Amino acid sequence: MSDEFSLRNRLSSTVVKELTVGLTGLMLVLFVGAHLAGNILIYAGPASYNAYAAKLQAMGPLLWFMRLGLLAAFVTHIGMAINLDIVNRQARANRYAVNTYLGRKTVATRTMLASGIIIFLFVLVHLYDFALSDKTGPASIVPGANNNQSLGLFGLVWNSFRDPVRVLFYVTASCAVGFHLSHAVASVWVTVGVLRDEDTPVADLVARLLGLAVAVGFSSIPIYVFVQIHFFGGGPT
Amino acid sequence: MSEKTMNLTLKVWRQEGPHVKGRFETYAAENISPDMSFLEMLDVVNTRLEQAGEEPIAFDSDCREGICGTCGAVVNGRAHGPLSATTLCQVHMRHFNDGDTIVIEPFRAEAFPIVKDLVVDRSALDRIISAGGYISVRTGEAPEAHAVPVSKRAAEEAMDAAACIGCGACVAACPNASASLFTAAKIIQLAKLPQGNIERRRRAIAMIQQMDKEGFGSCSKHYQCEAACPKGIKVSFITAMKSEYFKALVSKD
Ligand code: HEM
Ligand code: FES
Repeated sequence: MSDEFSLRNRLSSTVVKELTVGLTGLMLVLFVGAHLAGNILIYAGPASYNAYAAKLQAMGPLLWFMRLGLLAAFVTHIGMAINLDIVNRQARANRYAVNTYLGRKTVATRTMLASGIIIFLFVLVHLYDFALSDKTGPASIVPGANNNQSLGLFGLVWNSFRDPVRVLFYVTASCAVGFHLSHAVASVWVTVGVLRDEDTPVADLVARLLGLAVAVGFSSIPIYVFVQIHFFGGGPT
Repeated sequence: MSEKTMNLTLKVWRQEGPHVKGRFETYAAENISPDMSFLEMLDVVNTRLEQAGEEPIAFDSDCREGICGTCGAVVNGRAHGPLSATTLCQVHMRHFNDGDTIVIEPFRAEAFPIVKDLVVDRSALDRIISAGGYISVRTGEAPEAHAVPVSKRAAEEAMDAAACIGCGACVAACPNASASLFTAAKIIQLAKLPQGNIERRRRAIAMIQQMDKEGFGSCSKHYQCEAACPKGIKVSFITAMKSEYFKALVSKD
């Protein structure tokens, strides 16, 4: 067998790099779905929300295993996507003077890197906001609720969205994720080699609905808390 | 001459050679018959340029019947011009309006170096074919037709893929200058039929490796190639090509 057929060469093809972006992307989609399902419990009040958080914590080593897997998928996804983006830019170094865009796909397709970068910046801020903050300290006390005792993670989240700038940032990021997915979840089936012609419209529709659900679902949480605080007297109901 | 003619302004990419800087030059294309093809219109402009002692615009063409894949330029931002599923040589001037300004650029890709003006070197596509787009097993004399069963779906897919004339419009239209659609058509055309089936694994790997080596980009699923292809080749062939590659990765032959 000649050298170009070595496993190393076969695995370093752009087709495999794309596959890596796609598969890690699908792992991230699973996480996003689970994350939304958990956090939507904010509407059920402090008890349910904190019980969900406690259940996660109780998973112990398994939780850490999942976190490491998620981190690996995230880093790989970004690394490979940027790597491909560099190759793609080099392949078309000379641009056209006139561009007529005829493809079926639109803005989300052309802004995958931009939406990805917004998501990345958001993840950093988001981890700092909640994962690394003290969940029982003063920041978790919602004034006037629970006899001014800590409301745990719920209290921390609640107080965070008193700030309109943070609300805006979270809504923007949630929309960026939805936008990213509205292209990604349609396109990934080509990447992994399973999409038939006749299924393309279904894939497009599913991706758009999923993107919309993710954008609306996540955005609703900071907006809900903000409206409760500033228009309905502050405390959780 | 027909009674009605048109006057157009052309903005054409002029570049003396591969390593010099190019620029747009403006030319008037006057008294053009709407019944002329786009390339005939360029012929007229070139004749006048020659008469004026200027260098004619270099462009490629051969059959002028839409079957050889030699012609091609990006016209107003579209590879092969304004009509879908049509090569540039088959576009007629009646699809433009009197007084239009038409911007004409070469197919742009790092893997397609400009030879001169609108002529680009597409031999990278030939090298992808040379890497594996053929059959090397001896198939002997043509067998009795019924002796080699081929399903209707496979036959149709192979024929659809074989419609590719290798013009390079997919590369020209892709924002990543990817040759995925071309390579996919050439791989699938052979993989679907019994004679090509034997070497399909080796072929998929070799041709995709060559595609990468030539400096084409990867597929981001913009579907621009499908929209530009004069032969209507579909992105689903790219999906099939990927599936071929992944199967080849884990197969032993
Ligand atoms: C919540 C986090 C994220 C999820 C769920 C996600 C999901 C996905 C999925 C499923 C794909 C489809 C791949 C394909 O078409 O085969 C994709 C593509 C892509 N992702 Fe992400 N992603 C996330 C974060 C990011 C980040 C942080 C970046 C970069 C900074 C990024 C950059 C990209 C790019 C550039 C592509 C397009 C690749 C291409 O067109 O070939 N993504 N993403
Ligand atoms: S010149 Fe042959 S296809 Fe246009």
